[in-house]
Amino acid sequence: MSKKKILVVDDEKSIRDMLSAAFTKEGYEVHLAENAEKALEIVKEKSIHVMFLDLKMPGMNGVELCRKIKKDRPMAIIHAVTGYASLFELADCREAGFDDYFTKPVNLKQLYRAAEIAFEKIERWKKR
Amino acid sequence: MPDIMDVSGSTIVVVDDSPVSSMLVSLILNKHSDYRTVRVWDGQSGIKKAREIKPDLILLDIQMPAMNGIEVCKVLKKDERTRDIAVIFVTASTDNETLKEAFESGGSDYVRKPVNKIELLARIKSVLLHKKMEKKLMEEEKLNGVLEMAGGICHELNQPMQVVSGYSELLLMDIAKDNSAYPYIKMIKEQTDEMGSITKKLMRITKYETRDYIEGSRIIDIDKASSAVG
Repeated sequence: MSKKKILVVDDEKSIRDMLSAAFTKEGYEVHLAENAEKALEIVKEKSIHVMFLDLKMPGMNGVELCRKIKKDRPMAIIHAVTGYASLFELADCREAGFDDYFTKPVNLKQLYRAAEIAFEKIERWKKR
Repeated sequence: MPDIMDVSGSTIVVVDDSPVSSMLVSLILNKHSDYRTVRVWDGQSGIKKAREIKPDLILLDIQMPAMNGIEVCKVLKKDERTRDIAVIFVTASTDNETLKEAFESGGSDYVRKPVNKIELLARIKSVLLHKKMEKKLMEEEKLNGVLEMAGGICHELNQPMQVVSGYSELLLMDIAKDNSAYPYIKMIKEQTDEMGSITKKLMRITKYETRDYIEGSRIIDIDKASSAVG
């Protein structure tokens, strides 16, 4: 059985490395992108459905990236992990299609739980 | 919550070389208000007293020997210690040029001699209120700037905190609870989470209260500050 894939998008290398170690430890196949453009390539190439995106990135930000991914893959489950977002940005997140939202620093257990729920949902959708 | 319209208890220095005029002004203030008044008889003493007690307002006679009121006002407005003290000129002069010069020196208002009780009290209250509101606005602007900067710093701090918190959580999953390093790593994780909860609180502040800190300074009470997300 192939490993469950997760995409982590964050412009901070230290965050990417830490989340990579965390999700790998839980048995996921982790893919990393430092910007939105790279993320779009990986999503297309690797057919990934569960993602954790930083909101504030140079170039295309996390909200725009989420919108683009959801347009092509409406079933993708996308989580925002950000240093801070105002109420307006939170509203943007909902409108863009984010499934959940976490403010850094977030406990890994919360992220594990989010990933677990996401894959359970995907399994349920596949069985329909 | 202090009443912004309440200026009672303000300190006023009356600078006038005429004992009769000075006495009259003091009598009015003492009988019809609860301002604290201090009287001095010449310009130099007025400047000295202003530096010493930092009153809320100075009632300044224009025509005085040695140093007139306009010269006194110029000195006060040039001095960092006294520039924020409001000045109301008291003058028998009806000369427009003198009044123009008085305003240009930094005076907030003027009252003509002989002093009318109602006019004097009304102008004092108006100037004191104006100063109080100006001070409050400046404090709010300053604090808003500080809060904005604090928000930016917190955002930047959350990144390394996330890394430390994440790796310490991973370590805690890997090592046995009886390992001597376990409590230390647990402490690192707990303290990082505590820092995280502080930065989260700070970033959500939209309204704030300040509380006494050290040596008369005040700090924002982040536990009483309101949150943008409730």
